[in-house]
Amino acid sequence: MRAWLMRKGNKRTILWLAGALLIFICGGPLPKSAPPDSFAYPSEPSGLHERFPAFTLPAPKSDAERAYLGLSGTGAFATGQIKAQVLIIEAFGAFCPHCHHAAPYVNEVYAAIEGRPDLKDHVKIIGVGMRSTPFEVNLFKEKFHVPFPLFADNDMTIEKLLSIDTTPTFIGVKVNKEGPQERFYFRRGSFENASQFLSEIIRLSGLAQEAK
Amino acid sequence: MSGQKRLRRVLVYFVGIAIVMITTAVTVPGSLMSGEAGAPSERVVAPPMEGVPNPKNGSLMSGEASAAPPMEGVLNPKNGQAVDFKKNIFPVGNLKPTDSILRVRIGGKAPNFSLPAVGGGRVSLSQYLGKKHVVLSFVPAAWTPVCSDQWPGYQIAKDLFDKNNASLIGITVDNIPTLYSWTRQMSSEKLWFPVVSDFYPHGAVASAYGVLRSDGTAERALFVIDKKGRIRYIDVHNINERPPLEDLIHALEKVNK
Repeated sequence: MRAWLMRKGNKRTILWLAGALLIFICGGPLPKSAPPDSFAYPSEPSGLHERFPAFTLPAPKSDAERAYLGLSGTGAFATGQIKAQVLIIEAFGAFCPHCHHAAPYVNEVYAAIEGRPDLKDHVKIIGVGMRSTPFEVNLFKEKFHVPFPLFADNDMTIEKLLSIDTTPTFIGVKVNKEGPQERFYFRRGSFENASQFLSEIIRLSGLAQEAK
Repeated sequence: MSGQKRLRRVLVYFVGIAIVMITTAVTVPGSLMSGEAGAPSERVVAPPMEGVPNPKNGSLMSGEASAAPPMEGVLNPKNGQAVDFKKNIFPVGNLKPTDSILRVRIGGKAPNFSLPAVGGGRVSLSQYLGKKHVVLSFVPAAWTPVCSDQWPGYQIAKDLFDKNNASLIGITVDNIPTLYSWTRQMSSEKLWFPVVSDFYPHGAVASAYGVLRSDGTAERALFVIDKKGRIRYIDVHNINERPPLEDLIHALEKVNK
């Protein structure tokens, strides 16, 4: 055995194997540094140009907000019942600091729409509070003086349905007589330029061409 | 050297190289042989934070170098969309809901403490005795999901605390520099409540209340302590979920009756 070990060729072989073994031992227990795949954040817009899924919401308690959405009843309503050509949905979190930051700019968008006769009855905004209770959504509404209807999604039904992974997320949906149709706009993250945001909505929805 | 010997040596070399390649493939994520083709690009990629100009004032978003409030207009130059700081939050996965044994009880005396605060100085529970009810909000760790949304919510709920003659103290086991950076991005305004560091001796206050988890983080726990220093409400919440605000406010309303 000793004679076999001392042979020049065998020595080299043993060194090779020892080196490989060393790398294997050192490399083996290294933890994987990347987070679990299930927590990967998608980078592409979700559901863009796809048909918008139908869901229902409780009618707002306020008469003014029901009138804004064109609703006559006080029970649950389907998004297709909202009287508009374009529906902007803000998926927000009542406790999300980025949504707090975005709130005044979204209010600006609402004011700009309401101030334009060519848009007023055609473009509507609603907010859906992801993982937020009605109490928390109400606090958000009061704190940031949100003038458009807000709804709570504390059981994550709408969050899952619309594949929301970030708040705020803004979704633009074309609406016709048969209800919400194509998602033409999807934006993750807040914005600060309300007029630019509204221009994009008008351009991408096709409302600008209709006006011509 | 005979042909048979040479063949044997070549064979051994190949085996050695194969072992090295397999080892590399197993331990280096994203390597060609890892069997996860395409996966690395799907994983969390930090948005370009450093040197991203603020469109309002042109300053760079890099900590103290920026004169603008931390939340202001950070746009991704690639797509013009807002850089979402949430994508920088480390995904911790689903954790064991609770992992500690309470050492206090409702009706019992709340353990006093004196901890360094982010804003400077120290904050002790005894400062509030006879003046205000106190909500102690332990959160597991800075820069983690859920925690990063909890205190910004309390930031907009100040009126509800005031209405119930209550103050709030935020506690984590992180050190002051970490808490400084973390709390600064929670709001464009200064937080109205003190945030204190239970970092050293590590988690001593969390341990006194029985909410120090076995991994050294704290539970997501709320304690309402009345003006006399008695514990009136305890919610050691599922660490994976944010406690509903109304539960806390209703508890405060009861205490303040």
